[in-house]
Amino acid sequence: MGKSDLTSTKKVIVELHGHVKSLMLLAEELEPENESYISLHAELKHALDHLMRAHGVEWEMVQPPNDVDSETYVSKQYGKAFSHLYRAFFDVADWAGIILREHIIATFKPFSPEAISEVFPEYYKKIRPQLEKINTDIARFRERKDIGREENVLPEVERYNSVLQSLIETRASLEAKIPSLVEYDRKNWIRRAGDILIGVLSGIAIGLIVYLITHWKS
Amino acid sequence: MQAQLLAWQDAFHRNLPRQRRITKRTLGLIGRLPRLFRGGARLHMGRIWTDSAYEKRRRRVLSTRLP
Repeated sequence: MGKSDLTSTKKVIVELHGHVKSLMLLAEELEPENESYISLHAELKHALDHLMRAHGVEWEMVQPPNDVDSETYVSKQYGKAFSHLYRAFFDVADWAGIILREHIIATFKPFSPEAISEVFPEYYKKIRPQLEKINTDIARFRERKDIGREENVLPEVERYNSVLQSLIETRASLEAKIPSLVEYDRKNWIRRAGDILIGVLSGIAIGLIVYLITHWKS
Repeated sequence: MQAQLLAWQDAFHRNLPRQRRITKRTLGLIGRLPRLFRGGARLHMGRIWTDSAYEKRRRRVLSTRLP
């Protein structure tokens, strides 16, 4: 791997770390129980270790082990740091996705599908299919053992970030729709109660008419 | 092999130990020895997901049908 290739790997590592950090801040803020998911810290710890190993050899503070060529060793260590950050990204994306999905389920739970589709028509058309896809996609990426090439990773990360961003916006717009959903369900309840009352009164009236007709002569 | 403190250059190329699973025992340990767990306020207070609780929550959320 040439020097310019290594520079691009380093830049990808820096950007990937930024994405991981940004999602960790978001997930910790949204986590309803204020709990943290520290299992993903293991990936960051290993990434740091590989970066230190690369720096140590790059700055000629230590020799690579087993007579390995310095350039090969450094390049391999950056590659490993990148792989750990890549896994950390999907771990934290999974965590954030779970929190957002949990919140959306809890927010919509009290309302009927009819109210949701009436007040929030884009939910069934656009948002729900996207929600169904995101967590399964993230799970698929987490299970994948092979790590893609660095140049393919950032567009992939950007794509997941934009889906998560749309989940955040969905969560915000859901909260804004709650008063309309409550109002719709209330009006609907009054209409249904009215329908039931009309039905009951019609039944009584028909019964009364039938009674009067059958008992008229007697 | 007897445990020994290696010179930093000798430890440099060794792999770090794998992280053990976060269990209820880990939370108990944090409760007893919080001064050893100072990675952050949540960790220090033991407010962390155990691996099994997180997996259980994940399965529950993913299997719940969206409205």
